Amino acid sequence: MTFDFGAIWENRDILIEGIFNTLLISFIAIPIGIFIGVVVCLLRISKRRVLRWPAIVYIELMRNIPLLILIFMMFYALPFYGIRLSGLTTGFICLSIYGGAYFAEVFRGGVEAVSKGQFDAAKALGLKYGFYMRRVIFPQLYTYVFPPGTNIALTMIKESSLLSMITVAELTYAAHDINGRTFTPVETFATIAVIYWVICTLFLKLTQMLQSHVDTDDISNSMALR
Amino acid sequence: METARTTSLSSVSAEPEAMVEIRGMNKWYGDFQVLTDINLTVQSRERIVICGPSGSGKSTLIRCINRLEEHQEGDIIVDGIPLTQDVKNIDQIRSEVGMCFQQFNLFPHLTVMENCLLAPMSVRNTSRKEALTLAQRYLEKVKIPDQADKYPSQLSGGQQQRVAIARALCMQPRIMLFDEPTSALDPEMINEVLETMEELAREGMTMICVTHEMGFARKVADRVVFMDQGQIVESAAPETFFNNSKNDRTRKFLQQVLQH
Repeated sequence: MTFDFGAIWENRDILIEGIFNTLLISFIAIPIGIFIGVVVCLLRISKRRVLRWPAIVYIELMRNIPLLILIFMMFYALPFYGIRLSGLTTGFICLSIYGGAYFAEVFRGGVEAVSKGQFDAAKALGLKYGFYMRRVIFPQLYTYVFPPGTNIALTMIKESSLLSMITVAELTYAAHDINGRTFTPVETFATIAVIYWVICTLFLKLTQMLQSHVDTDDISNSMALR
Repeated sequence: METARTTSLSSVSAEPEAMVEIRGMNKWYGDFQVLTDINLTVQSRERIVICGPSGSGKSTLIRCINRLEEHQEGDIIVDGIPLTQDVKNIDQIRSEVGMCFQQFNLFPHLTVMENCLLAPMSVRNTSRKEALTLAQRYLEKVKIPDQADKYPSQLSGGQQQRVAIARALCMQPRIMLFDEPTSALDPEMINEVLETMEELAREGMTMICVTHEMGFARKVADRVVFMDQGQIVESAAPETFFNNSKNDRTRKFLQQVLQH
């Protein structure tokens, strides 16, 4: 059997657009997801029920509904209520709120791993809640949060492939497209798999570099006091 | 410095007022009553040592004074401010009450100096320059000015506890609470911390210490408070407490603590 990678090379424009869109969606959705995660985490650990419950409901919904269903609801069902979003926008939103729920749980685990004594000391010094969360508690989370947080981000990159189902021209959609034109499923999907692998591996390396930077510098990170 | 502050404040309220006043305080964890009918008045410049068997509620009691624990019944008044649900009062009390913990609880991601700067700059709005001077002064007082740029993990336990004392002092508190400050220390480090505390006492700081260091109690305390099963059993001058206690529970406790 011979492999015909030439067919893919001829369609490289489609491929490049796919890579671009996958990166675009992921690298917008991940930071937004982290931001949502921080906010929802703070709500989730609140002592007030009014704040805590919406966060719990949100997290449970996101964890127990398939991402694909969420995407379909937003793309196909919302127009019935007069809200029409483009595929790309749907992608940003769905991936962000999906990842956000998982980030929130990871951050909560981190906050709970910080010793109670740190909270006692911060309160006893008279520091305000927002201030000590930001300057005392959250900076101590990195070690706990980095590895599981990286996993969530990687999952988000890979799950963005589901957006091909609503015709977002990301990597997986590009593969379908090329395969449809050339009928070279082996070569096409192998190529796509390698590209996903490269993107994820590079991302992993990046976070590992970041983490070791945070770990050694740690602590000397000057975010504490400027 | 310290004295200037005290005089300026005492001129506001002329009569010597109780620093801490606790009246008829009760506290429960669920159904379990941890503190029963606590009455305790601590005058300005008074040094109180609280002792008693473990689980007797000593730590819980002092943690109620700055609202690390909430009490359900009774009144706590700190430096004239009633401790209520009012966040403003709680904040004000916390800024006047310094505290040191058994496990030091220094912030591990900040240097010694940054640990000392954090509260004065954010709570008191002290300028960085002033806060630095203040921190330098208190680090010198606890005899570790040269460790200012190190991280807590690079210091010995005794040094960490002294930094914790300096950190609390940087807020220039009117009262210091100590929650078993030497219990987590190796024996050879206990003295350096006790000496720092003694010096603080000599300078007239109002102090409430939960400790098992009976030598310290004898030497420094104006009054020893003995607690058992969530109640204050006895409150007496060290002389009376150690030598002439009429209370059976106190005598039994002292026998156990002092026989070694």
